[in-house]
Amino acid sequence: MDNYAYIALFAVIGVAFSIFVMLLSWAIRPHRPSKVKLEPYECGEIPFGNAWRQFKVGYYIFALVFVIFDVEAIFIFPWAKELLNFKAKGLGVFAFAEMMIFIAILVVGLIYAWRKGVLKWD
Amino acid sequence: MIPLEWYLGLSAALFCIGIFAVLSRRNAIGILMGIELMLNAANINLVALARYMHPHILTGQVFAIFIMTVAAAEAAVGLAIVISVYRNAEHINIDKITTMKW
Amino acid sequence: MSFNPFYILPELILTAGGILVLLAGLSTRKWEAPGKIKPYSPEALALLTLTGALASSLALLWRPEVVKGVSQFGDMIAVDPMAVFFKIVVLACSIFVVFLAADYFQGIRVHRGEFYALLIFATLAASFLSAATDLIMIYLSLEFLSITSYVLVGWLKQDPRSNEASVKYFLYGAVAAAVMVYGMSIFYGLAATTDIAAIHSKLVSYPPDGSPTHIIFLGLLMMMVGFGFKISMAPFHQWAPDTYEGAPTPVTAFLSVASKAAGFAVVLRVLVSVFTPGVVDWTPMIVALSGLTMTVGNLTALPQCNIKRMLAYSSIAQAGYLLLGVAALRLSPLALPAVMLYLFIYLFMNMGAFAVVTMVSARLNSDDIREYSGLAKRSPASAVAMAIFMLSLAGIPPAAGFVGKFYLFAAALQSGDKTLLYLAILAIANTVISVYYYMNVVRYMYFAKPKSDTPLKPSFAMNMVVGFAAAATIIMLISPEPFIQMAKHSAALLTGTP
Repeated sequence: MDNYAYIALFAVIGVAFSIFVMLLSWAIRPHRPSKVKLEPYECGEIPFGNAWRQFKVGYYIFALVFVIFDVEAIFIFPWAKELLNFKAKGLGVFAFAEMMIFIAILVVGLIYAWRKGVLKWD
Repeated sequence: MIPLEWYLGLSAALFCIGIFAVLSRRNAIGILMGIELMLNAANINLVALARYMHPHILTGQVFAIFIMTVAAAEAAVGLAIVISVYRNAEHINIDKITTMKW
Repeated sequence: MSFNPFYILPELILTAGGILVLLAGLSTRKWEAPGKIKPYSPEALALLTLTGALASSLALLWRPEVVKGVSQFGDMIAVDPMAVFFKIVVLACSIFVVFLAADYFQGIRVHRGEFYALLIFATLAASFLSAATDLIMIYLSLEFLSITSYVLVGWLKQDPRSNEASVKYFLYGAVAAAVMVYGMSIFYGLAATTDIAAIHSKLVSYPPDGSPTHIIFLGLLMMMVGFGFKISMAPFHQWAPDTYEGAPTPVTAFLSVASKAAGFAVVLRVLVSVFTPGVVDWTPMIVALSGLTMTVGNLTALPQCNIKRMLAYSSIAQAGYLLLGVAALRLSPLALPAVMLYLFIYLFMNMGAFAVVTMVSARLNSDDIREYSGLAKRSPASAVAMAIFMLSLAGIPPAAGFVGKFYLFAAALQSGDKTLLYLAILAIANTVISVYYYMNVVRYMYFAKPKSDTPLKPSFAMNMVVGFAAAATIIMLISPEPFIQMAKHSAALLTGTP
């Protein structure tokens, strides 16, 4: 049960600290509200309209391609960690070739996406 | 250490929430989110069982990694399908996608 | 950990060929109409790939090492007669589908390179699924097959029905796979391994009174959800009619044969290799599911007036008959060969029927059964062939379906089990019901008045395909012996004996 006590302690301290900091900054900062300050931050762009509007479908396709390549990376990390062990067992070339085949198939996918114009914006 | 049963209980609860979301949601994206919950319930099961029962055999963790990858691929294809439905039907309410019925 | 590329040659050919077709598809012009199959076109490359894979599978089937069974990829897949047999069924189905698609996509402006590439990848997934001996591999190949199929089903992006088919297939499939993988996690917890042979030896090592039977049964039930989805088994069949109707007809044909065969392969392998008599008794469960599947399929097929929808319910009913064989698996040595023989016959009769449907729908742009009125006059050869396929699906003598059903029922009766006997009687009653809707098509073709008299001209390739399927259906009735021998030879697994 001691572990839980620590967690509870950290939770209490964490919440208390953030409340304290926010109160502190509220107490010492100057109050000069303006319209610009109340706008949502959008990388320096001036926001317009409502967020509930149609987006260009290109966003989704970019996101889909990103998700696939992002997730494939989780296979490469364990492989990189274990490669030296494989080498010690004399299977280094085998393990290396397998990953190269895997990456080659991914590259084919990338070539396909590129030739289909997915990577082009407009 | 937290006993194994808690993890299994958590995963069973998550699985049930997922099933409930799948059965009660009418929006295709909502259903997709329910499916992700169900897959993650299986992931919790696998990782917890691997950690508690056989800390030196990594099969469970590897299985979980594969499930995550497949779930990503499935979500990608699923979203693409939902987008193509939206383009034709202008909504993604699966109760109203009923051109084929007899 | 011996790795021999010869044993996985079909898969290697499919992988390389699929990538090649994908890249070749990039260079074919976007809206080029298919027309004839030219060399270097995606169709030709796909045919070459599939034929190569089929030839290498056939070469494997009679190899002595394969007869004993070989394991590849660190016990991930088995190269045993059953796996090779199912690969042959799947590959033959895909070759049919290429011909169907070449005809179907005439006049429809779609991307073709990707279609054939995805078809090859789906075939690859199905052949891995029929060989998988590890839960991870089963899950991966099942999802690989599902994901490629979702895209193929929704291929006609502009058609709302294709969209609907795809989204329904996707939602059902994803839920079924999620339930299945939860069941798999239960078995991982019980056995600390994902290799099905090792799971089996762990499960039988429990003392009889200390065996966690309920947990095992729950896990099996959850896995059957995923498998049942693939074979369109009764409580998980609702996707089938809509998906079959909305999908492009060649894809429907693929789903109804290749996808289903691969699903049966994995059901058979898991039930035979893992759940032996000492573990859990699944016979009553399969008996109930089989009876439900065939009855639901047949009764709902009766009022259908769309031929693809009718064939969808028919394929659900056929899955019910096949499950009858699965139910007899434990009690009769005839059952496994009977299931395999039936699937082999089903391949030809169902692909033949879909070939005629493709031909008609590509020319009349409709799948209504009433459009078949007077087909006997408009295209006599197709009408004769379609009649043979319908008779065969119904299981009436002048076609091979009769032989297949005969062996299935014989396996059920040979077991001497009472429930199986009742199930066989139910199956015979169902067969009688099914005659009505199969013969309905024949009635329209021969006795109904046609709307127009313009003859329908199938292309040369389609005539060849339909003729081949019809000839195979008849030959398998006249001399079924070699095919029975092949099924018996193939009814051998790497682990576990039926």
